Amino acid sequence: MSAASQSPRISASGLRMAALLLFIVIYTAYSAGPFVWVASMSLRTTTEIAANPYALPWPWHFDKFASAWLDSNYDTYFFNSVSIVLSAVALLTIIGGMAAHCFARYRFRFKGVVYFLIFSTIIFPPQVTVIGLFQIMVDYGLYNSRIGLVLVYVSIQLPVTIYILEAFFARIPKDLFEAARIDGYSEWAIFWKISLPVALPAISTTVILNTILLWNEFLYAVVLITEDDKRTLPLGVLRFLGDQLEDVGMIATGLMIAIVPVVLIYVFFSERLIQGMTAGAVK
Amino acid sequence: MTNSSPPAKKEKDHANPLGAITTFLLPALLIYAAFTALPVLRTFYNSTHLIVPNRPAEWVGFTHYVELWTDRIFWKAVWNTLTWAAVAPILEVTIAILLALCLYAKVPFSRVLRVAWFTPVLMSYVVVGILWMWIYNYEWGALNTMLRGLGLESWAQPWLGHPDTALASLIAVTTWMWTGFNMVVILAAMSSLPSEVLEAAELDNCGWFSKLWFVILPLIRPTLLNLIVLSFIGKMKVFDLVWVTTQGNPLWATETVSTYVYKRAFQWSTFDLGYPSTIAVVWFFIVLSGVLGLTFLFRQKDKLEY
Amino acid sequence: MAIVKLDKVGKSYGNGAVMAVQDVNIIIEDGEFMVLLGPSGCGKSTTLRMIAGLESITEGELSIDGERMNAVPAKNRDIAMVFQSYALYPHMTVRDNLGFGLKRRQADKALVKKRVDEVAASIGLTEYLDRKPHALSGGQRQRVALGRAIVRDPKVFLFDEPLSNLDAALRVSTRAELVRLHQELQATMIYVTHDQVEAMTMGDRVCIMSHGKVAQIGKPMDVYLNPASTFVASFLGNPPMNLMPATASETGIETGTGRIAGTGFAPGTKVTLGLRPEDLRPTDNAAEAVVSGRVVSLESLGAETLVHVEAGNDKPVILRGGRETPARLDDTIHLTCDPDMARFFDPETGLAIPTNTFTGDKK
Repeated sequence: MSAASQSPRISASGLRMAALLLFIVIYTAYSAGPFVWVASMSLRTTTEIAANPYALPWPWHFDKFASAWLDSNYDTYFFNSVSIVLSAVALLTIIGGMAAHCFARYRFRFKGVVYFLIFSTIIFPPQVTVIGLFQIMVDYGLYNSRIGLVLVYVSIQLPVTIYILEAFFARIPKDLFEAARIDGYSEWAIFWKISLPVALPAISTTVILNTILLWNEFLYAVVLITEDDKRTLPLGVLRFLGDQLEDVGMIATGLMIAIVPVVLIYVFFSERLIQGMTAGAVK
Repeated sequence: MTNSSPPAKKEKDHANPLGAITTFLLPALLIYAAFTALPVLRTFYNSTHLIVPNRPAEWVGFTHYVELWTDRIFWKAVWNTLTWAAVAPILEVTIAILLALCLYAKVPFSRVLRVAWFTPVLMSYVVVGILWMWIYNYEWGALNTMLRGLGLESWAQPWLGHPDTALASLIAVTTWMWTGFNMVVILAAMSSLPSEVLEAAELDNCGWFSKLWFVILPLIRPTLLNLIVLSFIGKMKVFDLVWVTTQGNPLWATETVSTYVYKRAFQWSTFDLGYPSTIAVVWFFIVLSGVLGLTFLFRQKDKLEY
Repeated sequence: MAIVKLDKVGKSYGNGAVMAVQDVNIIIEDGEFMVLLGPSGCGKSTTLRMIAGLESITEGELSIDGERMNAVPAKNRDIAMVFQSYALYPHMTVRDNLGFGLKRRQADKALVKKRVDEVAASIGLTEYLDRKPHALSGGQRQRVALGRAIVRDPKVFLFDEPLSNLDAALRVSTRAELVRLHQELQATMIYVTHDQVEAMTMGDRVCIMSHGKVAQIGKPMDVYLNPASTFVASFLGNPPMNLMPATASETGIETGTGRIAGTGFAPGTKVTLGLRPEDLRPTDNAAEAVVSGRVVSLESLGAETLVHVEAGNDKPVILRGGRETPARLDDTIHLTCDPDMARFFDPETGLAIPTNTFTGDKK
């Protein structure tokens, strides 16, 4: 009796387990498969791919990375991206940190209004800024300029940066700032010597988040940059696609060059990164 | 007493020194004014003008708005974008709940799985777009190869080239990108649930499904609603993916408001920035009412205490 | 070395709508240990923070050594403060925490180091100098906070309830250490607390505050023995002074269940009579009873016994007796006391009626 009732239950839960595993396997293939595919293609020549798009790479053509890098202006795009993203992130950290410090520490008139103005832009569709921005950048003489793109990048990531940092600064006990004040430090020194160092975890979160988002940014770059030697990596990849239309293997190599830095950042800073990306979503 | 000046009408507020406040806030405000506020105002100004290169802007009143009313492509783009913004959040959040539950139940290799599921969101849309163009390729793309392998030869088709499947195919791509992100957020919300609540449910002899349906989901409801709103906002902005893959083709099947604005402003040889600005302004109000509507809809009974 | 003077100092919020502190007049002498005592919300912390420069002063004048300080920012007042939460910089080692304030004023690194080592040695922190605050115990953190103030050698030390986060045993020993420190440094110190034991044991003088105003300033024993108002009388002492309504008559002051000698008042005057629990003693002679009543509760505290006597007032009268219980529950008991120890208050204003107004004809 007991054995009879035992066995169907096992098979039912076994069935459920199998369904669960199947779901996980299918979703994982859907989610990770494309990466595996592009990674393997990046090490194969187009001829090999044409023969069989799904074979394993052998031999490994690492030399393709060198030729993508050297022959297609990739080095320029890469360094443009690096310099633009790093400058923007540095500025964001300082300017955003200062504003967040101000919101978290001081009381002043119109604080609510300023706060609302800055944060309402989070829901703005970029369409509503992009045309006016294009005109204004032309007026400022910042069209087709890396400095211009840096400033635009600062402006688009500023609200979220302030949001994350402000939440953290507000949690630092205010005694700490008062102690520093009594120890004789100016407001500015307090910001550099207390706020920023104590908020290092939050700072690193925003740095990593901004780095990834700006590294991938496309719309503003495509509107504001047209000269080849100023293109960022996403624009470069797209141009590469246009140039090498049939050369699938080469394009795959180009894609990998764009993917690898982001994956490296993720591998080393996954916890911080996830914190940053989810900061606005968990309430 | 000393020769101190007679007490001023209002003493300086040491705790909130105005000089420091101004210094800290000024850079952010300047950036905001120059690169966000001014462009937005400029776009609003544009929307009632004809803006053609090398000629002063010409006031045209609400001509653009009237023209927009009968612009079939615009309404097609609005329809596509709204479809995207309505379908994608539901898909993403639903699948993400299932995935989060798998990890919550501590299936083996959950660390590896989390990485595999989360990584797509880190990619640039340009990279993602090219990658999925290949996957959807008619001759050698992964999807069709798989269908043929399963003996479903007749299902194979040029996914991005057919008006009936193009939009759905792109929605599948954003789902691929964002589900893992939603999963991580939901997992974080689940893990921060007080264990007593779940233990209480355990004692009440809840099955896992009723535990999920009656205990876990209601408790993480605020997070879920937040994710839906975030995803909604994100889809209202979609540009890169469409631009890289289809540029709105075929037959405007994947045209979004973003791509249409871009085309009218920078591609079509109309050279007028006024009309696309009008599109942007109208779209701004559609998005705004959408977000306000959603927040209002969800605001109702959201005072959960635990 | 400094004299701190508060002249009609006040603090209002919202353009005078709410007065947090008003009309505070205190002169703290050079080298004095002044305790600001009061229940929470009485304005004592706000007063301290105004002295520190952390809150702006909206009325009156604050001066240190005769120099007006209202407009001087905290960093230029040359004061040091020990916070309730210690406010140690979490990202700095103990050494850097101690030296942080000094570095701003003293550029010579060697001198800073020497001073930090000196102070660390004097309060027993030498072996922890390279640790960060999170690796210290509560008592050690407290000492770092203290050391940070000492290192600076400021004009004035401010303490904002520095002992309230310590456990009971540590609190007693730190109290003693603070007293020793004060004697050693001979510096002006202002100490905020809600704990009357700290006030009684440490202060040269105590300033008791209530509802944003000063209720009384004086030496601890003076304040204890001669409270200026019913508020002070009932705030100080544990259990506090017994207060009961009484009426003057030809022969003394009638409590309803007894009388106390003293004829300074015109017959029929209503007063509030205050009697410290330890000044009461039981008596068998009902005729000399000041109050009489039924014993409603007994609390044996080991060294002493508190006897609660129901004498027809709002609150029972409390008698502090010896280790042996002087009565049993439900007994009727007569209590008497030395008329010199009786204190009188105006029942309308709650203010003390100076005892010299009744030139007692006691026996």
